[in-house]
Amino acid sequence: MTSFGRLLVTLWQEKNRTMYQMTGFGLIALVVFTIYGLFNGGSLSIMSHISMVVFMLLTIVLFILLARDQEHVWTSNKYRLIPVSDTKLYLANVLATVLTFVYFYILELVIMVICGISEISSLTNIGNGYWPQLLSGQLLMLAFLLFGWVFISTIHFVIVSVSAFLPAFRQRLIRVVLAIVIFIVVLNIVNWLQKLMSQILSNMFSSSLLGVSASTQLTTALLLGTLYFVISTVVLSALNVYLMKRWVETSTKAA
Amino acid sequence: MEFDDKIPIYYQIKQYIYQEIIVNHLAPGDKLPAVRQLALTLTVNVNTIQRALSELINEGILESKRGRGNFVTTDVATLTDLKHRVVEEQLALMYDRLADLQIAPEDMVAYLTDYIAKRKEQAQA
Amino acid sequence: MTTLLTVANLTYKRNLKTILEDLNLTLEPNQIVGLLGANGAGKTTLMRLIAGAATSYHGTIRLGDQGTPAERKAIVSFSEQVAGVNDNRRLVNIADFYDHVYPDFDMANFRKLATDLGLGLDQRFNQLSRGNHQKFVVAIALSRHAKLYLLDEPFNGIDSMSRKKIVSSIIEWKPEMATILVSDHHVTDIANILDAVAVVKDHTIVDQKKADEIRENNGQSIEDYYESFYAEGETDND
Repeated sequence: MTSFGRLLVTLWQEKNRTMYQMTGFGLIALVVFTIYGLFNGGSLSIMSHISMVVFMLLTIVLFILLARDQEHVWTSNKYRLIPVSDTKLYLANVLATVLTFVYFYILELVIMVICGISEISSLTNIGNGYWPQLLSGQLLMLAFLLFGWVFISTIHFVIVSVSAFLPAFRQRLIRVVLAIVIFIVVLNIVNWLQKLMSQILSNMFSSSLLGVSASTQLTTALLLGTLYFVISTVVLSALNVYLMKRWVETSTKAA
Repeated sequence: MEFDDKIPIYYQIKQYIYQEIIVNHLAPGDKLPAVRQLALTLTVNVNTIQRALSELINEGILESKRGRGNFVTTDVATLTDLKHRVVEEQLALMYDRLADLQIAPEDMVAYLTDYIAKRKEQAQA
Repeated sequence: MTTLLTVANLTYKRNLKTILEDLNLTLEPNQIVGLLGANGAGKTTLMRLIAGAATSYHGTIRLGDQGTPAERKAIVSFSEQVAGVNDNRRLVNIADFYDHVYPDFDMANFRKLATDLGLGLDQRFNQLSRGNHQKFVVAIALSRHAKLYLLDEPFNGIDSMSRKKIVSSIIEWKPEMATILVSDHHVTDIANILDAVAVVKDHTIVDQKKADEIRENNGQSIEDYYESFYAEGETDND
């Protein structure tokens, strides 16, 4: 049997290849735009702004590419024939996606700090006293992305599971219709769950939040949001593992 | 080596080894290649080679020395026997065919003598 | 001899269609068995079910005393484990992946196999010819120390030199007690290396017989024997 750690590291390294490629493109874009900016009379300080824009675009692209890589694992024999339980494969794959993203985030931060070195003093000034909010904001974003990846898997799994029981005729059309229907249904369920949870949680916390400062309230709200997404992720993951074990088979066409 | 797919492969391999011994490609006391090597050379299954070899060992044609491999027997009587047996099998085949054509045994000898003379001439020409 | 694989009353449906129905198959250790059948007869599906790539079946699939799908995957080497590789990396780097995730993968064996088969370790996966692709698939499969190897149509659409090399690798690299199930719809390629054959037709295995019994008792070649099943009626495949 393959160990979880070994599987995680291997999957992580594979996903990192995608991430390195994207970061490479990002760096090229950064250099090109900076040179362009300099020729048009800008100063070197524009790098910090450009790097921020590039970083935001990269984040979106990487989210999509990592989702693609993650979904590829579920239906490809290359991964599904590895001797581990489906639960372990699921956890390793999702965790590897998150790790790759965190790694990307750290790399981008380093790049941004280097690009914005001239304005580093103002950056630390902003940071002073706002660290709890900044940190919990980042956590919320990560939890949101994690939820996004898991949500995409759920839709993928439900489509695969349901279409196994439909005739092979016009599979493509059926899948598109299914995708839309399932997207709406799952979104509604998740919405309902989150409303339910937020009600429960706000009842729990509202009394204890009276009389604290606005910044603490913001931090708490951000952390609560993170918690919603984490709980939703756990619930969807349980469903995902169940579907994966029972109905999600590898694709028969060579990818 | 080309095999006839209608006849068990192990049987054809036995015939092949008989022939190698009779024409002295495999001399008495010679070591046979390893089983897997033979399988590769003849492009057959290892089990098939094993079956052929174990039958040859049972017949006394080969001797298996533990850990060292299979050797052609040095027992002259067994090898002479083998040669007779194989030649006889071929003769039996010919005899039956000719008998089917209702050729009398005495005539068979005459036909054979004539035929051998003809082949000699052809070989000289 | 203890049985290696028992498949009993296996039924598999997908997309409202029966693909396998009430199928039975037994495999002993240390055998090379040909799985013969027309295209679309269900050979690949049977292998997918044995390997654990397809899961929603009815019936029994028992491999030795290995119960869970993960335990089964640990001792089955299925040629389809390469399906899903879709990058332009070098063969040696792709083999590294298998070396990492399969505890029984032997990198030294892979290097020897690749050399025997005439594959360059620095060749890029996406640029392989059909023959070399099949060679790579077989090399990866045989580099594992498995108990059961499932080779799905390894000779499909390749030239005779590649075919001979793959046959030689199978003879040379099959571990002593392991069994190889190799599917083919053109049996002459492999007739000489088979211990036994199983014929797939009409969603099930219609017969399973030792190769020498076919030759000895029926006086038939394996090919004639196989074709006799398909000559009787219309072939049922799509």
